Amino acid sequence: MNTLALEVEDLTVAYGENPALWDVDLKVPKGIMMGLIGPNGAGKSTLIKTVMGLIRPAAGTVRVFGKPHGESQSRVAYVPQRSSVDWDFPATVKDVALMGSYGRLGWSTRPDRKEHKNTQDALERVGLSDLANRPVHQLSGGQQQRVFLARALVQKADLYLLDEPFQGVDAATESLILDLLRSLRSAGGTIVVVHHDLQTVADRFDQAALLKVRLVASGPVSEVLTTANLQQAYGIQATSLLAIRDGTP
Amino acid sequence: MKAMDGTILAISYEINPALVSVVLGTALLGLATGALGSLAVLRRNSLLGDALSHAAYPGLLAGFLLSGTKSVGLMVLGAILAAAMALYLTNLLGKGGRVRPDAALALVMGCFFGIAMVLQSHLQQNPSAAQAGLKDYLFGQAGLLLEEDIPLLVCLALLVLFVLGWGWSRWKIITFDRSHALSLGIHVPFWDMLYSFLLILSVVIGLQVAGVVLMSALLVMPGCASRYWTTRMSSLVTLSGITGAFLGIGGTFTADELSWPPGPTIVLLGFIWLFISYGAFEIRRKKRALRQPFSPGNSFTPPPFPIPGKAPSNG
Amino acid sequence: MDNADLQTLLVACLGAVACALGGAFLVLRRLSLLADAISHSILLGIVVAWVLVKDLGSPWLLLGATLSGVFAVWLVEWFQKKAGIREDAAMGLVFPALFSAAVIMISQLAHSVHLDTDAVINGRLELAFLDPVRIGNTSYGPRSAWMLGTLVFVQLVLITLFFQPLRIVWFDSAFAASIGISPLLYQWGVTTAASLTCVSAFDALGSILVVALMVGPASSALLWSSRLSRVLVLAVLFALISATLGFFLGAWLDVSLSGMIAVCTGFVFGLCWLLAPEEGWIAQWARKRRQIQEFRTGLLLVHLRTHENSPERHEECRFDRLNIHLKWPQALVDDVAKAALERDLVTSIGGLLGCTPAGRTMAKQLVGD
Repeated sequence: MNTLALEVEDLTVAYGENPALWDVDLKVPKGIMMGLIGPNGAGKSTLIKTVMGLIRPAAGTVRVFGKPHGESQSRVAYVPQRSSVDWDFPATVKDVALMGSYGRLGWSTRPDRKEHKNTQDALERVGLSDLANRPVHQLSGGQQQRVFLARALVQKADLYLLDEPFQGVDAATESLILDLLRSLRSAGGTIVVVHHDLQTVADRFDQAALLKVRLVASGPVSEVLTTANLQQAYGIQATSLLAIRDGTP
Repeated sequence: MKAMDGTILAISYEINPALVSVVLGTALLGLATGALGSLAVLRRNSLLGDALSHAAYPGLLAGFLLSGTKSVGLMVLGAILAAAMALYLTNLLGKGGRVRPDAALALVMGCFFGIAMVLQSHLQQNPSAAQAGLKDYLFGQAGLLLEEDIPLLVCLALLVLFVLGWGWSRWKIITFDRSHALSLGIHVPFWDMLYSFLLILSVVIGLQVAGVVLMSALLVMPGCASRYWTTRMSSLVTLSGITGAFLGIGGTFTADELSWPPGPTIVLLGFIWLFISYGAFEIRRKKRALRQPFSPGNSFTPPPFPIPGKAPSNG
Repeated sequence: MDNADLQTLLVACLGAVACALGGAFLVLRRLSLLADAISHSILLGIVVAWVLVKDLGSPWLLLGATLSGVFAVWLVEWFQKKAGIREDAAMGLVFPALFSAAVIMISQLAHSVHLDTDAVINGRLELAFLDPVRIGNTSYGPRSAWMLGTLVFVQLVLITLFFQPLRIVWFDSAFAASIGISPLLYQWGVTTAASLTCVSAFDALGSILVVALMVGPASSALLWSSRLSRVLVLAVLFALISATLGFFLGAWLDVSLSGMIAVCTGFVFGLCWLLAPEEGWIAQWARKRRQIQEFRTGLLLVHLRTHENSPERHEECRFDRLNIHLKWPQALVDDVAKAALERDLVTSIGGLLGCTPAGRTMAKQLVGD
């Protein structure tokens, strides 16, 4: 019985000329919520994209639920950064959420009533059912993030990879996303979130992985966010970050 | 069948029967390019059609040079190959950030057209009678559309509609969010190739009607105008196709009435329609000023129903 | 090579230089396609001006054409800013529309004016020497040479005078605005200059080939240098090479000279793209190979160091197990390990690899500890 949702071994990724990830080993057990933290340019998004097969690694392996990525694709949902998409696109909230179902459907099958029901439920869960027919370009940042989340819910995945879901969203959306992720976890899902706010890591995640091109540490949050590790990852900035971690001004 | 319909039409409305095939032809072409072009607008490579049409012209001439006669098959093949080569070169040069993509597009377009000029001047030296019609491809001669051209255009329109409808969900996902499409396991490069192929095919077939210079307008205008009327991709593509077809019909009739060249007339009509669409959009927007609706540009509008609590922040 | 040939060559070279200078600023601003839009739009200005003054030789035609080029750019901006249409689509709308209007007007005036759309696209470089500037009975060279020469001169003067502010605006327009240089003024100044260039050059070179000459030399130059002054000098140089090469090839093969010049522009660009010292394809390929080699060595070192003191060391660092852990073919592991052994970066004790102090330092540097 495999208890790992995600297993990254000796992963090295080179973006053009400079390595973005060096020899990263990471194990994510099933049913936890992990925060992926690190300074800008530490390779957090790169790691997620490599896991999703969007970037080809230079060396190393990625296994999702014990299998190479291609074989377990349908069990993973990816929520990209909100800014990666052109929100001027002519589509309604429901259109976008419905896109999550296409991974299940065959070549050119149209989504049936069941999928529509699924989508409606997902929108309900993110609190957008009233806005189902609204064009996406009229949404606020937080609402856009919720649409992305609804799309991922429709995928009915077992592993969710989210890239900065709390970036630039309002407080209401933030707590909604958090509740939602927690309920997904209680239902047996595994969640990996790229996150940059050190202050909230301890409240939000069971485990953390600290990246700085290579993996500095991973495991329970308290073991990862040690002074030594933070200094290694953030260098000179670490002193002020330590203050943030400890909640002292 | 089509011809018979045409004759009936011609009799009942007292229209010049020769015009019927022209109208039908431009309508079919407008349908195909309008639907396809709306995708180009969404993908932000509207000018690709322009580059492809410029690049197809030397291929056309080379096909003529090789066959020595006005053999349509060889010319179309040459045009398709040349356009595909230009597309490949544009992508190759624009990749890696060493040459800016816009410069790559302009350069490939200019150079391919330079080749066309060279070939054309070479062709002019041997006064083979058949070459007289070659220059029609520069500005397009919709008036020369014949009944036997119609089946080809019907096939093109059907092919475009079929491929768009067949992979509709994929087109939608890829156009909206490429990385999501990849993460779902959609083979994005394949769909890109398919799209380029359709684009090249319609540009090459459209050259005879619209000409090199005006081809891009047929692709871009219906999409841009329809963008003002709709907020869903399915209706955008449908409306663009219909707009394209009506522009073809309206432009041909107008051109015939005023004895203007048809290609430019279609383009001008499209431009007018674009302004009408924009005006209508502005009027509707002002009527709903309280709800602060959108502009299809890169604007961001605050949520219509603000969430109680914190205001949305960016940062 | 007779006098007429020399005059034609002169016109070609001056036209190419004028285009290269005007185009360089467009290319730098990622506005290459504006050259395309402008060169298609000037026809409308010519036709409208002709309708007003009814004289093909009138300088008003020049003015009308220049204005319509600027108008096209303004229209593109308007569509972008006010009507919410993106730049690429806006350009794809504007120039066919203006061009169509011009073609329709010409078709209506065909009986009264000899404005050949074909000549607009093709240019009439071969015939330039037939239209000399005459004072009394002596002719002083082709009219287009004088026009293009003046244009080049004016461009050079303007660039010299305004070099610093142009450089600042082109590099960082927000900063320029903050120190009191109006980016708008310079942008529209360059747009007008580009439009004027198109207008002056298209008579000789043809409207679409003007695009190749505006974009080609500047793009080639950008592969060699990123300093504005050098880019301008190199662009002029490449333009001269293309024009001369195109002239002789075209004359030799007896084909359209302007077409051949455009082809040569592409050819020169292709050579630069392959051979430029830093940015060229070959240089990049060689650099990439070196980097991959270096990168693989680094990867091996980092891997060894990561597992240096860990309990799984005997598994992770064994020479014959590395192919599994790094997902490399065994042959590659052999190569990289051998090279690293030779450079004294790793040691091998009984098939178990480990870092030497030098290797450890290198690995440390690579991961930024």
